Amino acid sequence: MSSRGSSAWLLQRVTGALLFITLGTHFYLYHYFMGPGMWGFDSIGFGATDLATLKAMMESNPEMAKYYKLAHLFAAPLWKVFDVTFISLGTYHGFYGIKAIIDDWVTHDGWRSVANWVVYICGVVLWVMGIVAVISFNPELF
Amino acid sequence: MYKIKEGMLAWILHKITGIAIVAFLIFHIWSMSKMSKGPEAFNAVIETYKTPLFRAGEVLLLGGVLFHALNGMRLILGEFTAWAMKQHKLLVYLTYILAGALFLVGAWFMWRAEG
Repeated sequence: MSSRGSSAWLLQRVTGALLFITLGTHFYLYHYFMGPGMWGFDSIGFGATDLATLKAMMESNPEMAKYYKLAHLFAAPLWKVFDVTFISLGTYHGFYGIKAIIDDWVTHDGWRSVANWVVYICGVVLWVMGIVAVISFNPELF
Repeated sequence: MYKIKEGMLAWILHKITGIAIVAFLIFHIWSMSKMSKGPEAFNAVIETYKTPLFRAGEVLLLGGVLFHALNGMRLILGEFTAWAMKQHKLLVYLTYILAGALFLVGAWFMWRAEG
């Protein structure tokens, strides 16, 4: 095994282990901390951009308070760092996994090379789309 | 490398769930990238995520992710510790049981989640 192959092998394990934590957090937040009823733009507080409106919304329904806190979390820099990390780990791990399957199954050198390039380009394009969506997300600019 | 029988089905399932998760990842990033365009676009995307068909798909996805994650952890353990290598059979069965149990509990709470 080449040294490049073994470092890619190790990286697949490391990103996999980190995804265990980041995907777990992601899944918990969207499916258990808040359910589908809270997925709307206004219901998670994005509509209330000024503090006075937000405060009035929270006072009218104290149960909603935790979701409004979450709305601010989404636009917070630390949360964006989390999402950028998560998307990077996910696209790398996922597309490297597809490449590994191609390496196992496509025996023709030329076709394997073509397939790997397609996977590589798709992975990079998707990564850029994800990063741009997360970084540019700012409900106050809407 | 994967000549051990108990690991064979798990290995195939790891590949299948992996491909399914990547397929969802492509759809997920593509649809989320449309949400930055304003409240209407945000809600339009979210409405599709709230349909019963999509939610059923997400419950299936939970099953795939749970198996892939736990089986991945088992593979890492087996590659880095002699103990896990020796307990291979037991750990494969434990992966199925744990993934199955977590799936049943997780699917139940996920499906009935409203707020």
